[in-house]
Amino acid sequence: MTARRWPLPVLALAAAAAFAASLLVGPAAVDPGALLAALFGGGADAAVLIVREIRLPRAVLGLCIGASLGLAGAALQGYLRNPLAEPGLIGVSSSAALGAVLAFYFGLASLFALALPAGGMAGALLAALLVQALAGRGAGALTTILAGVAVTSLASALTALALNFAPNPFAALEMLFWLLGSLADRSMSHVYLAVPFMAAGWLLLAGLGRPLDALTLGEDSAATLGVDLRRLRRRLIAGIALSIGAATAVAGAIGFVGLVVPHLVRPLVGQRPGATLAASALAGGALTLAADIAVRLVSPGREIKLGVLTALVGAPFFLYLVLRMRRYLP
Amino acid sequence: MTLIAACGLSVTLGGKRVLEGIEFAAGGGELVGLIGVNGAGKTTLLRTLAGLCAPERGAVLLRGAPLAGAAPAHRARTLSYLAQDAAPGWPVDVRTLVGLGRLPHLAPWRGPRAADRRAVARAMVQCRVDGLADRPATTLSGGERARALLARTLAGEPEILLADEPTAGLDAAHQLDVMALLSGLAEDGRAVIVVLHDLTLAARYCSRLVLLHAGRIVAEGGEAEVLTPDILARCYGVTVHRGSVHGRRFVVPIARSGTSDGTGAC
Repeated sequence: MTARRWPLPVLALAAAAAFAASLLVGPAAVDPGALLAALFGGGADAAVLIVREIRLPRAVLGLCIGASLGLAGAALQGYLRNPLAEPGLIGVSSSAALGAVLAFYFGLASLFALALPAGGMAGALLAALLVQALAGRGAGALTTILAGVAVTSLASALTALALNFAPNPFAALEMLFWLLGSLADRSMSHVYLAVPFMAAGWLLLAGLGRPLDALTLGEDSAATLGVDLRRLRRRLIAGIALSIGAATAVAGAIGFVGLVVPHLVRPLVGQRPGATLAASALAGGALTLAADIAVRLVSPGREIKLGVLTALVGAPFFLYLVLRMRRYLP
Repeated sequence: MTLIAACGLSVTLGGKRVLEGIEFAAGGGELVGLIGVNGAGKTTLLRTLAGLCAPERGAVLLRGAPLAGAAPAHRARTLSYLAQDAAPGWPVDVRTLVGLGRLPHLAPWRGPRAADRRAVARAMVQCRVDGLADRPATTLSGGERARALLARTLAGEPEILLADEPTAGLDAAHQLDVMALLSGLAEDGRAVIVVLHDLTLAARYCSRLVLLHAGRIVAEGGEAEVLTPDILARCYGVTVHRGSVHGRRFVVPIARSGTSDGTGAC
């Protein structure tokens, strides 16, 4: 099997560089030496506050959320043998968004700080159970997608309902802004809450490389190659619900990363779905961090939301990818 | 020796009985052709033998042991299945595509070893796709793709090969190539079971023919016993011209002789 060795280390280096840059860039001008000192030791109080309380959680979340989006996108595209799949397709992101919006709506968000992400994760979990139940005992990918579309529509409708009956315009605006997706003003408690769930999701998804490779030739061929399709689907849904649910719960919906990143890395790793997983996770982390840095640089003061930027850049880029890809697709 | 057998197999799909009381066995060295009209149950029988359909009654035996109880990895190493509509979903190169056949042999979390690479190279040479090793599998012609997919099934070095219409959509030369290849695999000691529509190919290459009709086996044996004008008229509803050129058998349908649609009595 052809496997090039350079993409993974290069992508890891890119993610590490983006992480470092994310720590260095921000509205407060602190020189890099002071930041490093503040990160690993003592240093000046202001620098410690900025790097540990503001920039570190933002960088960690950017890396982890981007990795979740890339990994889940690659896994779902491999499972469906369809390059147009994105991690939200099985309903977990819209349900996580609904959960967070409901936390706003019922005023839980003002009662305790972590009500938003907790509501989001509850929503994602419910969505995963619902999709699994709706998809039933069959092993086909089509029923999974139909179930996901149904759950997505329901969650979107209920989110619209919550916005409709928002107690006041400010509450509606707050929900809407949250839905746009952002990493601003997140704290280490968000990191502690979300990262363990994301990591559990990564573990589940990272083990799917071989079954996804086997699916290259369709479900029958995969089954005769020894793949248990039901187990594969259970792990896929659970992995995406954990990683994307937690990501959406702390940052809102960040689109296009999970859709575009697998396309970017696929040619680098020889198109094999299993090899796309790790590369997509690294590239997703690097890209999301880069986008979050751009957000801070483009419009300091009044930041453009991260989810808005990824959509603005991602949509035209995806169009370009589709045009370029037409050469290869049958 | 018997490698795969079906005992009293009955299969129901969507409330319809598709196979009824199938008794079938195939051993090493045999190239068995499953023939019959559309809807006769050929593909269902092949899928059931591959473990893709659960029988309602009866069992499939793999080397005498129930297939349903076999570990998936053991089953995958013993038996290879070439689906009728298998098509690569990603533009992986041909070497990677053929390498998929080694998946059941790989240790967890380990890459392919030298033995795996050798098996892949051998399968590619056997199917004459070694020259296409670096080509994206989605850019192959129909004949090249059929050979590459066959190489994928061989890479796993199975004892039993099940192929569903491996000659469908191929030109005459490539049909002969594929059948000669399958025949060679049987001579090497494998059990090869293949669904065929072309009666001439079935007559010339298969060591044994099994004629299915409305879910039952209605004739079994050499081509002289199965492809008789009488049986073909009853089951296929056609009159045929049989003959041979330089000792090579051919069976050509000439005209419809009745109204058989594969579901009535035969």
